[in-house]
Amino acid sequence: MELLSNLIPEFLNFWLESGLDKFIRVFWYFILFELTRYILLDYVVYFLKSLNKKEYRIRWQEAKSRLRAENPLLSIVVPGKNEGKHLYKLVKSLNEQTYKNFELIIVDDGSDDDTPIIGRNLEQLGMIDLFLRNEVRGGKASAANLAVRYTKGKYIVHLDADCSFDCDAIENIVIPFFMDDQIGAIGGNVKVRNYRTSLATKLQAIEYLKTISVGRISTSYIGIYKIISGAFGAFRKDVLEQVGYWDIGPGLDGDITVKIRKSGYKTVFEPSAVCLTSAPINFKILAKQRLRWNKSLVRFRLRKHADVYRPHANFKWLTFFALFENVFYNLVLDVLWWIYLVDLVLNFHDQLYYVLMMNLALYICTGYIQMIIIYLYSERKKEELYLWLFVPFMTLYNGFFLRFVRTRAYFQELFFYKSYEDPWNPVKSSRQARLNGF
Amino acid sequence: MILKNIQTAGIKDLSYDHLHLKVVSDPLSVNLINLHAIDGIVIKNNDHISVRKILYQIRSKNDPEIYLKPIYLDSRKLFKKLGQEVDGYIMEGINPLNSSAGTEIRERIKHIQNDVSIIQDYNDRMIVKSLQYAYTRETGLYPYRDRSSSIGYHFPFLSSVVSDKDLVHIKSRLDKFTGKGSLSTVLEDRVNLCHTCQSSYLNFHEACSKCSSIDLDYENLVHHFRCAYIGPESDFKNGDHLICPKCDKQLKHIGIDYDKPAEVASCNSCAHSSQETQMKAKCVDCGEDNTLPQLQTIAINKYNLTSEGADWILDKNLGNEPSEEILNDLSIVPIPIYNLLMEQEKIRSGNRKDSSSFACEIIVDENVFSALSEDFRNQLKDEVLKIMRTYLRPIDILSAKNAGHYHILLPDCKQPEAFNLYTLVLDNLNKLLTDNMRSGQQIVSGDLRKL
Repeated sequence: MELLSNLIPEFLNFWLESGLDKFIRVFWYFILFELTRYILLDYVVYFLKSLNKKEYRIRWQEAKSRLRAENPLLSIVVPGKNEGKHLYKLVKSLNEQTYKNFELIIVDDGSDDDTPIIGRNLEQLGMIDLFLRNEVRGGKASAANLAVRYTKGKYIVHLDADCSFDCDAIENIVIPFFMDDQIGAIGGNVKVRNYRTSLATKLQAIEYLKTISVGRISTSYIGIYKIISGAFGAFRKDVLEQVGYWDIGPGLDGDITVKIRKSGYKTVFEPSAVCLTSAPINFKILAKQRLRWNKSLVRFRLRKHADVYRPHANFKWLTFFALFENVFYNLVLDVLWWIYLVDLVLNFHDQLYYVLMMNLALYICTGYIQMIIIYLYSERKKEELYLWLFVPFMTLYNGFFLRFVRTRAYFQELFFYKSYEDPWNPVKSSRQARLNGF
Repeated sequence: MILKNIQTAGIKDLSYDHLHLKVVSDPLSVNLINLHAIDGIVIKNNDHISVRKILYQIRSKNDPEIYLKPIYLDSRKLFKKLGQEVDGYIMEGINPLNSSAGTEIRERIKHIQNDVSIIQDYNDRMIVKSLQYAYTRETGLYPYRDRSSSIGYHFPFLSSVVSDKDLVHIKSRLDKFTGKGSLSTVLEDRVNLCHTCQSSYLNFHEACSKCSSIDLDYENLVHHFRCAYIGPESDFKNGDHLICPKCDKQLKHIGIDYDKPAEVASCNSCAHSSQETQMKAKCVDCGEDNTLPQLQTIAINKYNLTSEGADWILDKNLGNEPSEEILNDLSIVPIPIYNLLMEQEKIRSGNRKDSSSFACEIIVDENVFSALSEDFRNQLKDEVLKIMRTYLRPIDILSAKNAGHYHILLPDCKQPEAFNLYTLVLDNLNKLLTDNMRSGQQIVSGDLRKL
């Protein structure tokens, strides 16, 4: 205790004596990239949105009226493998929706459990409009494409079977289509349902709130929204047809968003369309999931859609920035972070203790500043206050765990094309994707 | 006149070995023959329906000497079809008839000295007769396939005397006797029947799960590995080639470029596509579209008489047949004991001047029970018994020949009281049955007499 009471004044004294110049020299990485992107941008967008709040609400109500007057058929498609256990809950959740004019199509992609029995039963009971089964697994993209092939609706809502929805989620996710004809696809707000289960789920819940709920509001606002989550997204059917539906994954949700943007349509995020999903409950499963996600960044954002970075007839600045921001803040800054670490070790090795302490303090502070904006945006303010307790752990989670996983994924994909060996896709599809350079 | 009729009906005599046979060709001519005086009948007719009618004329009689009479055909062709219903065939020039078999049959017929007419239920009576037939032919009751039967099978003897519709009901009675140990069975087949008309002539087809139309087209789904497009084969068809509608590439090699992971049915009536079609069975006879759970599935068994069953069909008092579950009710005295008690009561009341006893008989129209299903029959029997017990005194003795035929002994009973009891039972039973059967007719009759 005495040691701590001595250390804190010593630590404060060190940084007061060092001055602002040294502070910037040491924490350039944080100030330049993280503070601007994850704090300033979010607050500026929040401020700007607040200015137009009333006007936006009127436009929203008008669009809602138009939706209700037209009452178009929505086609909800749910592709998946071995998801039978989630189907009944999913159907019940959809039955509670305020928007009723939808058809539900479920595609079982070669399940080897009781999914076909459950699906067929639900279809016979009239709880599912169409249950299709591929006897041979074809991968998530083909399952989604099969579902869309048999849809009759004007809009397609793509869901994951293990999700549940706020009762107005389906209605809210399609309202933006009635606000702007140029919108081709809309992403839903995915939150973690099992956030009380383990530390891993708690940290993921905070991460989802930061990167999805708030992060995507900001990117959507400035027009660089680049990923419509596979768990909950809505698409115009004609736009999907135009872009040729989904291509082979992993990372097919990000891929189709880019395809839609490249076709000239806007992609937006709708925070009021809330969907709850189950996050991996331990760090081992989480690491596997994130390896897959991060590999897809290299495969799709860097390789498949490399044309976005080159000037050509269809070049679009916003699409360029959307992908550039993604690649820069994930891949480039990941490499830069290691350089920054070397810089710290080489140049400040005798002051490393003060540097690390300050780093920790900065990240915890920014964590809470982010929590404030999450709170301001959230429709579940009270429930999410519970997560505030775990914000200090986010420094380790973001700064080390996710960074290590990311680095490993980029390394594997950049040099060894490991995503083509991912069992998430059937070998036959991955082989063809590799052969054709997708 | 009779002689003239016999001549025009084409009845001829035929002697074979020491058997005296009559050759008949017309169903009506059977009534003109003294069937007791002959050893067998030869049917000379090539028409299947006419032969069935002649068989019915003979088999529907209640005299075992007649209904069990050996019958032969003179057509080999028809024998192939109806061989199970007759004892052989006779053709000019060829006489495969085994005369000793005919003699044996006649010998075994002599064992049967009971009167089947005491069995009130027509179907039950026919069952006993058919089992007696099987007994005399030293065989079992073996079904044979016949397209002319609505259930696809005929049973020897039974099919000559009951309609196909009744055959289904009779089959359930036979199975009941099996449960009581009178018959043993070997499963021959299972038959699905229309739930409305009990016909087995069903046309199975797949129908649209949405509109029930049978106008369905089936197509394979094709999955193009390269671009993950998947759709019905027609999406890819381009002349003789398969071209992917998404990426315009030609699909050359199954397993390498593409596969066919499933099949989808598309309805041409409502445009609904699905992998889950519903199976329907259209009854060719009545046109009813049965869903599979609606179909009535019955087991077609071969029945063999057990020694217990043989005792039963030879029993002089067939009214005590073991099949009537009413007899399992301990409060109902078996007929022989009832007869004994009645005789004793007659003597007892004859010895005492101040005492009188009565006996009454209650008979329910046989159509009431035969028209009902097994479950309803049992329920009705229970209700009939309940009503009788309500009015009878504890000392009264109740006996039953079958579910529709009751005897009641009223010991130590004055005439007005006996009449009162009798009318109460009769009226209430009539009320119960006429209300339930929606019949305006008197369906319960009876008789009251002093001992």
